[in-house]
Amino acid sequence: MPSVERERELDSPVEEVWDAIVDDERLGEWFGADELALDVEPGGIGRFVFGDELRFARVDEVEEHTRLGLTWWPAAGDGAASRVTIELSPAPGRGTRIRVVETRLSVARPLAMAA
Amino acid sequence: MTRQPLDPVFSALADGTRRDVIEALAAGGSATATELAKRFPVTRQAIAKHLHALADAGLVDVERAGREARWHLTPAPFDDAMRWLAQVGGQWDARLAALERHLEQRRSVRGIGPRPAGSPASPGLRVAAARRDPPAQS
Repeated sequence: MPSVERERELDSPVEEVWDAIVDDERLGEWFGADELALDVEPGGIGRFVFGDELRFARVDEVEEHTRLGLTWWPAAGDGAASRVTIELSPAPGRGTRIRVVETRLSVARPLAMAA
Repeated sequence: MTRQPLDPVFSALADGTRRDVIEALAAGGSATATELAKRFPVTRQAIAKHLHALADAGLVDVERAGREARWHLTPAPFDDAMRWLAQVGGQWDARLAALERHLEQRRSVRGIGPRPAGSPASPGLRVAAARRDPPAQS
């Protein structure tokens, strides 16, 4: 599966970075969506608007201050779903290492949401 | 015209011999299975099988002239695969840079230093903020 991986060190503590991700008002400030809502709990749903594109998301995994996993897919068209995992770990000097992996899935949308 | 789905491309390219075949076709333009088999330590039948797998993924195409079947690359799926990787990679680069600026801004708001009034937190690349009110300061 094609996969994109990014890693970066941030100068803020893990709790602070986690908060900037799971609080959807704060997420909205940096994520680059025109509109978003994300219910950060396992099975929670999300909605992201990027210009003309609407994407739905389903939260797969939440481990506080450590990992957020979700699957998202375009609401229209035949674009494939992809799975996003965001992992945080403490870095030296009260910083945070953030690692993001987005893997394209071979299905257009998760089965659980196909109905 | 429908575009080939992306994932068969990656599956097809998971095999080393197929990548070599792609490389040979990229370098030589087109070739028959027999010509390709001479260049690799595999049989003509094995090469033909790989070529058909690559054709199923939309990576190569065949042109028949009489009894000869010449294979060549079709560039589109590569473009598609590369486009996805570049697009998604670029989006995360921008997001992580914006997250870093968001956190920096937050730190300065919290009193480590005064945030210059009215100065944009991020010159250059600006990421569109969500269409909602700014969060209340805690």
